Amino acid sequence: MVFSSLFFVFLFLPLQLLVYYLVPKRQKNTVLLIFSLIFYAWSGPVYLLILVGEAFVSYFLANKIQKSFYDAARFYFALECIILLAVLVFFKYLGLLAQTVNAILGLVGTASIPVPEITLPIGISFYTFQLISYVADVYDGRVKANRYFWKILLYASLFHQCIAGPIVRYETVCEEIDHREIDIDDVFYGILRFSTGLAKKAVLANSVAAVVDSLCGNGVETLKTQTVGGFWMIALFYTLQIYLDFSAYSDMAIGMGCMVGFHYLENFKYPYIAASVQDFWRRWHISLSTFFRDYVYIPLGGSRVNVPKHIFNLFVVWALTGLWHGASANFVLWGLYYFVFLVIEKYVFNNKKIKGIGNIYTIIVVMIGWVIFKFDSFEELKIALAGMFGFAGGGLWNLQCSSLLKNNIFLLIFSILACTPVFKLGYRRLCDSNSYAGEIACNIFEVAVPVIMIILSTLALVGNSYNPFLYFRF
Amino acid sequence: MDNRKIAIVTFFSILIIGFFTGLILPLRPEISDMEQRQLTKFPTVSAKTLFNGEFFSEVGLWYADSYPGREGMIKADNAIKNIYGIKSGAKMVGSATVADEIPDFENMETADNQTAMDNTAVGNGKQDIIDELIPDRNIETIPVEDVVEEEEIPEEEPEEIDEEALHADGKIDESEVEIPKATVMEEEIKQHVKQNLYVKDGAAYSAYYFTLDTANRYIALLNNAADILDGECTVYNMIVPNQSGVMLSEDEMKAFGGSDQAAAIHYYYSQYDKVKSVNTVDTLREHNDEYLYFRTDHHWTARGAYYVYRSFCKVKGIEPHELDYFEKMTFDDFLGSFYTDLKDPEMESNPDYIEAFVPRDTNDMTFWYENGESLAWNVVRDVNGWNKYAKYSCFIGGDMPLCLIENPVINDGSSCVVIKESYGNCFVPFLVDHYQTVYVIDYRYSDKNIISFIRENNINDLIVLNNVSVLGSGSVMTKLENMLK
Repeated sequence: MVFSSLFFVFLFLPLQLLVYYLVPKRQKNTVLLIFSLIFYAWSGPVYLLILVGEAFVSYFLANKIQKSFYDAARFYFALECIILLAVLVFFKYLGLLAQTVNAILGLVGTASIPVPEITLPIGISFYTFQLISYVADVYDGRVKANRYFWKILLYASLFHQCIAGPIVRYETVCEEIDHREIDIDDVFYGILRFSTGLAKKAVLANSVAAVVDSLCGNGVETLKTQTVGGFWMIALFYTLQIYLDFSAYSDMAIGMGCMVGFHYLENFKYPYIAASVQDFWRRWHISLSTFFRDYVYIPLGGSRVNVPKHIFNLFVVWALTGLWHGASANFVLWGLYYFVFLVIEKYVFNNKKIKGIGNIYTIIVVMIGWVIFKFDSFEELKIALAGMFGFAGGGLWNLQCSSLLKNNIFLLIFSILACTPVFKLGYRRLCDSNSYAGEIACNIFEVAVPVIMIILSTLALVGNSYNPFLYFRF
Repeated sequence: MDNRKIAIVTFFSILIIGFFTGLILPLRPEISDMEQRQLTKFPTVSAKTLFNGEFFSEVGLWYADSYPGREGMIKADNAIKNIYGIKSGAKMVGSATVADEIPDFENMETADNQTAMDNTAVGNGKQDIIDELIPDRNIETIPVEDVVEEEEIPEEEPEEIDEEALHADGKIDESEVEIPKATVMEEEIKQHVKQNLYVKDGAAYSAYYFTLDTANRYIALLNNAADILDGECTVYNMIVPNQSGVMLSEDEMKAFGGSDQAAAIHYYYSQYDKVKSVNTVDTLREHNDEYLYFRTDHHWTARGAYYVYRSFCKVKGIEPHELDYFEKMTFDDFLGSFYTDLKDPEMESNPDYIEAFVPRDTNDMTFWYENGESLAWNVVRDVNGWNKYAKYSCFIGGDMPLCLIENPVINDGSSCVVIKESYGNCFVPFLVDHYQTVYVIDYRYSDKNIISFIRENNINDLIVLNNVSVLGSGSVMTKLENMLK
């Protein structure tokens, strides 16, 4: 099940909220857990076993760690990592591994290792990391192991964030699992975030995605005829698509959390207004970059080591970051692409941020980055990158590009604005102004926006059989 | 009440209204007139689909696809999408692809083609009918009275019925070639016909991309059929261009891209040995100030078909009838497949109309569904009052596996069989006044061996009519190769 579907919006969510609000306080967690398990099972009941199994292993080992010292604790923690990562590797990376070994050893035909076709259990990359972070925090003594298995299962399976993030830390929600209050402002903020997130996905992201798909067509054949302008349009629209899509899921997760009293941390902070690549990564998918920072980079020594070791640490983190996004070489390339820029920024420019120029440089780096991210076939990637730099089969510009641009110009402008804080700042200014008119406007805004967003999204979802879910791969 | 409370109450009210609306099953539409398709049905449960999650995703699909008020909401959504940008003027929809180069046939040896033909011409000509189209019935022995009484035809559109019934099973023939299913062909044809659209002033034009491989397969299969039938039956071929190859100016065609349709059709024709080719693209271009193609649909009009009929008469050496010889019927308010795909408001505000020319000698015909049931029908059916998306079905009952038209005025034993996809529908009526018997086979929904069929029924002329884009489909070639050997 995905959030941006009529079934979710008009059946699952209202039912879940209704039951949740009606039952007495001590049963609220049970309701959340049951609905979360149904939500997860909806995408393939067998995979529920993996989720429940991983949660149980983590619950069990965390309690073991809690009671042990030194080597024993270290052993249990290592066991946790090995088990969970082995499952992740099995489901996500076995194919890539087989391909890589074949390529390196030059194995072909019957001599080669067969490339297994395994369906990726939905959300596995997200909940695996959540559970590892929980056990790591217990190991480090940052949090206490929970004595109830079902609470750990609830933490891992909570449908708000289970399949598309954010990667919520246990310490963020451990208090709220047991004690949470909701007030009107929370619920209001929840519906505002959820409805704007839904509209961001159903109206904006899906529409810009349609433009990208038109420009990319049926792969290699179409790309060969694409123009230089067309490739830059692909980069631009895809840049918008991926942010509007991904951050929309986080918005919806945060919103639904608020409706029931959970306060998840922000996952995106307007990444496209960043003034350096480093700044970008402090604003993009924050829960993932902090995960790698806290559980890989810092344990490796972080930046408090000599220069070659530091560069090595960055290399490891960014190769892993790339790999996390998908089992394909282009994702690793994409991660290492950022590694190069981060090293240059650190060691050549000493992480100086220059407004203006820095913003332009960053957004161009990011756009080219998304092109690397988008094309998982190297043949297509080569055509696209060469095309962006003038070597396109279709010349500079054609009728398709101009008509697509013209037909979507307002969509484009609106989508760009949606990537910036202008709407939020406008809303703040409206509500913070002390005038009577401002107050009226603010009141109208608060009533109208969620309603308009949900109606627009519904229309878009009914009209759109086209509803790609970018994050199935993760 | 505080405004945030109002917001919360309104928001949850919408969710609850949506929740209950979704549960009122009788309100759920079953078919979409606009999209000409059956909406997703509630899935049946099986252990397998339950385990792999297919059942649940089907339920989600059913829930959204047949949501009450769907069509109205889609219209509203399209109205919103129209403010995404500036919609006036020309636009392009879909994606370009790479076409093969059309060979320079004037300087080409025909020997190459001969080899291609030899390679493709597998199987023997005197094959028994492999799969009878109509089980236990031989159509030549069916007296017309035997035909089931005309039934109430649902207002919806006959195509809807046959799509359900006609999904031919892929069967393996002796040469182990898998015969493509009708659904596979439909999908491929759709891809080729609507791959890349140029939309201007409420009319859509589709690009054409030449593929050498399928072209040579088509040439070989027709040459082969003409060889087999040499002396028994004359093979005629007409390849009908798309609207873009006829109605657009040279400059517009260039800007739009794709292959030159005239050059492509001339290439096909240049490679024929005993096949008689009928000029289409040049004739049509001469008349392109007339209403030869629909603006909102991918088909040509009967008027377009008329000019190609004149070319056909010239090749066959008979005298064509003038247009005013026929009784003309007009059906207003037709929105075709381009509209259904694009929902272009300019198209909606200015729909097409259909001109149909009724043959003089008879307007009666019989068609057979794939399950063998037959129906008495009209060559040109009055479709006034049908829904506006289905009106192209006025010609020969739409896309039926087999049609039979018997002319009571002609008794010379002359007969022809037309092999076609839907482009042939509006052409057939012009043939009626020239033959005692006209058979029409839609190759997509029939498994008949045409050679055997021709021999059994002593047919004089085999007329193969295809749209040029359809010929890019590999599965169509496989199907035709299989039927014409």
